[in-house]
Amino acid sequence: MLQIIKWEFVKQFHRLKWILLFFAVILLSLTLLPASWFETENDATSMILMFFSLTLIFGALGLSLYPMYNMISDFRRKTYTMERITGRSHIPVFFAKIIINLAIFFLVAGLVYTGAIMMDKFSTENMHYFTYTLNEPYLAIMLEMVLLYPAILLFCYMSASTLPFFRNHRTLGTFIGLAIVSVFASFLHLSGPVYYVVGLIIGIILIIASGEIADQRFEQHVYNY
Amino acid sequence: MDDFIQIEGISKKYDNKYVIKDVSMSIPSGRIIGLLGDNGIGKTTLLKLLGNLQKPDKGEIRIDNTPVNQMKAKDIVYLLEPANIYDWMKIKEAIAFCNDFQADFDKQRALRICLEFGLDPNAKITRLSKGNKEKACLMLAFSRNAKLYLMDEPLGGIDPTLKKNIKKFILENIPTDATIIMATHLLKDLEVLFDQIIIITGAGKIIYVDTDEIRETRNQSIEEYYAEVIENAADN
Repeated sequence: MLQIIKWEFVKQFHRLKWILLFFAVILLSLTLLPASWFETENDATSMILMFFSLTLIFGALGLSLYPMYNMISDFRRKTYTMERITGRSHIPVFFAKIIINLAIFFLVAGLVYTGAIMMDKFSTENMHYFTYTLNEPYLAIMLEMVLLYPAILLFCYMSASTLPFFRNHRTLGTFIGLAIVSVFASFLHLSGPVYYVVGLIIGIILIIASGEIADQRFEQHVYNY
Repeated sequence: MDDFIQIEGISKKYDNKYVIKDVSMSIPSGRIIGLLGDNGIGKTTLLKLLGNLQKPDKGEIRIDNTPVNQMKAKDIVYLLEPANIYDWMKIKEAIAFCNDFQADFDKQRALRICLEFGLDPNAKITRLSKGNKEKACLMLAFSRNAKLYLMDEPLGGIDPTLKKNIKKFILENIPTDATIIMATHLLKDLEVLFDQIIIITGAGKIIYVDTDEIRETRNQSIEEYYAEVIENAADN
């Protein structure tokens, strides 16, 4: 399991390294720029700050969605064979990916928090409007971003990939699955500890079920016979 | 000799078109087998079914008396294509990846083959020439001690020297009782390698024959025999 986690971290590092470097440059720029730089507000400085702010907002939003992509990333046609020849069951791999998702969650939270502090230095009403904050309840956001939403997406993708009708339309099948789950979820009104426990159990069940489907029935698209 | 691979009535279709239909055959262990056929005829599909990368719509494949979907991956080597390897990987990282997950992977052998092939372990695989990328894939495959090696067009970009010495290289690097099934169009270069050949002429139409029988009884080269079979198939 440790080897699986190690290689998942290595893969994510290589996948995200340029994005992370870009954010590091922006945060560094905000750190180095003196607050007085913005005292003479003009179009150019406003535009630059707006660019920094929007980059942080959309970057954080993008990274918030990344855990969902992370769960299905091994099923890309390009690298599926490399993953399969290892002979690993998908279930421990999926759980290793949940640990990666947790690391990404803290990365996003760190990015948002640090970005907000940095932007505060240049605070104007205009800039406050474009800051992005992580709202409470943090635990619910963490559960959803790290486990629940990625597990739901993964299960929908696996189901769509192995149903004959959707085999060649996996994305469509996945979105239909997500729509069905959303409708179903709208009838549930859970909150507090019950929500956390139910969410955790559903997430784990979906991960295990998806792992079983991936091990037994998943096939990659075939373009050459 | 016991049948190592038993294929029983397998069929596979894509978009309602059969690529493999009701195929049954038995293959003994310890053979090097050429898998021949025109482009798009189903060679890759047959290899992927044997490697459990695709599932048959019907029928069953048993390897060493175990259904292929219950086989441990350590018993089967499926030769990677260069495009299957992560873009960021250096040769040494690909070796470490395989070594961490494949119990039968021999890291020392991998490094020895790198030396033999002139591959720098610190080189990024995407930056290698086409031939060296294929050599890197061969190195990863032949560094394992498996029972079955499945190879789809393994030598397309490989230099003539290695092609000439491929039999020696294979015999030096795999267990003696291992079976190799190799899909190829390079009949001239590889015909000395094969103990048997499988020719696919259409969905469900498979010829499985000993190469000695072709050479001695029919007095033909494999290439001539293959050309004759394909011509007859086209006439029918």
